[in-house]
Amino acid sequence: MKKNMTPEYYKYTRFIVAVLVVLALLAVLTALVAISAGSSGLTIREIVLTFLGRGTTQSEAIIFNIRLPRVVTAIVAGIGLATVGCVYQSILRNPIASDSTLGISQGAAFGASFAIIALGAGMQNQTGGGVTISNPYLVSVCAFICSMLSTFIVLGLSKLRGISPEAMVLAGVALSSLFAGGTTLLQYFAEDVKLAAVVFWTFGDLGRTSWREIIIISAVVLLALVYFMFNRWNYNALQGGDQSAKGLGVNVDAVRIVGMIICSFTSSVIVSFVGIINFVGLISPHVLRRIIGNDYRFLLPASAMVGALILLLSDTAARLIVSPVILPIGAITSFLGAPVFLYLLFKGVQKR
Amino acid sequence: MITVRDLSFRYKPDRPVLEQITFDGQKGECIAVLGNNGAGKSTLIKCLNRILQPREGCVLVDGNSIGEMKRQEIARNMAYVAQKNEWDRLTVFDSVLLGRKPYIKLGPTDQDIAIVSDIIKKMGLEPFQLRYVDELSGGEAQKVMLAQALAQQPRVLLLDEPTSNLDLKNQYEVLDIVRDISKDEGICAIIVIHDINLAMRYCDRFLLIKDSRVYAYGGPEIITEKSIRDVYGMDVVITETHGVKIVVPMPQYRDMPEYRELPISPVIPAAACC
Repeated sequence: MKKNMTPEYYKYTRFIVAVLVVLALLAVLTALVAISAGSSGLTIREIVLTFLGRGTTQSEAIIFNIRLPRVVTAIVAGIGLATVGCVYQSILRNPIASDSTLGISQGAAFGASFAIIALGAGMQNQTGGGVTISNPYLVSVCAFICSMLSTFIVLGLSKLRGISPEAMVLAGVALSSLFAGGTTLLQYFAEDVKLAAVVFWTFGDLGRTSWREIIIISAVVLLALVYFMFNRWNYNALQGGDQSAKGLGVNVDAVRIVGMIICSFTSSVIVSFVGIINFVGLISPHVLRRIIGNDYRFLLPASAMVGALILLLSDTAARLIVSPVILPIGAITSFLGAPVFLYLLFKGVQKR
Repeated sequence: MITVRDLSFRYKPDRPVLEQITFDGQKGECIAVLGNNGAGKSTLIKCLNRILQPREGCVLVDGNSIGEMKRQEIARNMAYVAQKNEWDRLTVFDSVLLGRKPYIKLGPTDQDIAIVSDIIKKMGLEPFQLRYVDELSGGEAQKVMLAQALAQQPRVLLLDEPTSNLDLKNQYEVLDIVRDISKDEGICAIIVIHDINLAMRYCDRFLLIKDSRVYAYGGPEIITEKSIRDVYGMDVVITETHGVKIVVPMPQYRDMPEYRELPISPVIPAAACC
């Protein structure tokens, strides 16, 4: 117990630490289950042995080449999307701020469609019914550019009229619909195969990433997480309104603009590589706010774990429900997330 | 201890909000900022700690210019309590701990925790230290915000209408705390307040603002029927009951036939004004 801390407050912090530990354990457990689940069944024991370097060649091949990249992608993408959503909601002081409401997802979708349809990155080879994209990097780069473009338009517009967080969210919503319109037009004039590739891309898929891409995503997410944690007190202060935050010594404009850029960069990188995964950034922080409150010291790490957990669970469900067909993860997160979220909302309303 | 010289501010070039505001505040003093809605009172205290950037003029705390300080340093010298607070889902303890933000580098130290625990005890917030701020009543929440400001250990405390949303008892309780703490800790409190009677009860000096300028600054003697009529555009009588000077608004006063004949300070029975 820290010196001078009241016993009640100490007990409260212990409770929150316990929540964090439970979430971390759950995430690890789910990750193991996710690795073991699949057409060639592996037991948890085999997995642990393989990690310790005592597995068979076959189990090593399955784990390190197929299952682990997928699971690691779920974890880092989950951490990234959830913490980014968490920070968006603080710096824009808006509970519905997330990558999907700020034009980032729609921007990425437009970029990908543009690359596939107009730049020919989607010359399809359809083998066994699967749709593959011939030039994945061009698609990712285009998706990234367009999603960052929407961020800079939002920042630029708000800079012209002073930085009002409400205006930023509204501008994001407007840009979302603009990009969605652009995507629809591109799709309207596209050939069937290309259209299929676009639709397939926007589904979101954690199995797209190789180790090289995973390293890029992980590095970006890690750096963002470190930056967010350094700013945790600023995010707490911002919730009291801009003026109170300034009174507490927070450089509000800088925290907001730098935060916007880092958040958008992180989510753009994730979305460009794995496609659109809705809802994780929006619900992870909200679920936790109802359990551990709005203190960013705890909310950020907890959101990270819940984000990872949601993606792991969704991806495992997506692979198992109608195995061997893998359902699109974006649909699963929405199916899992929306009812849970609605339940929490209504439960919360009744309590008041 | 606080020196304000020729402070000017405008939102638009052709619309001055504050012009050449000059006044001084001493240690342990409570200063009431009085004036009509839109006179620039809130703007003034926001200019003091650079929440708004004044166009001209300077603010010194203990001889150090606020204009040359970083935000964190300003926050160590001046604490600000906004008119309404919007914190939610943050416990009372953590909200007060946030007042240590200007001092916290990586995480709160034992000393930070000690200061916060001490303030919470002193202000009687202990029973609900783990409740969320948004679940508290208006009076309790206002005390939490005050506690947060005090955790900043400021030299100057800026309060923007600290009593406007509170019931009668809480108005007095909150201002009691402000006055006691400013005396004990030698803090200069600058309070924007609408209730002249509350101001007269708790404040030592009065800054009357009219049309963006200082109309008068001084002790209780400057609160006269004339000065209030000039600043607020409202007829009042000032009277005394139980040794307390009170201002009674008389909106219909001017229309009365005996308007001219009334004495300057008529004695009104206590029951009529309390």
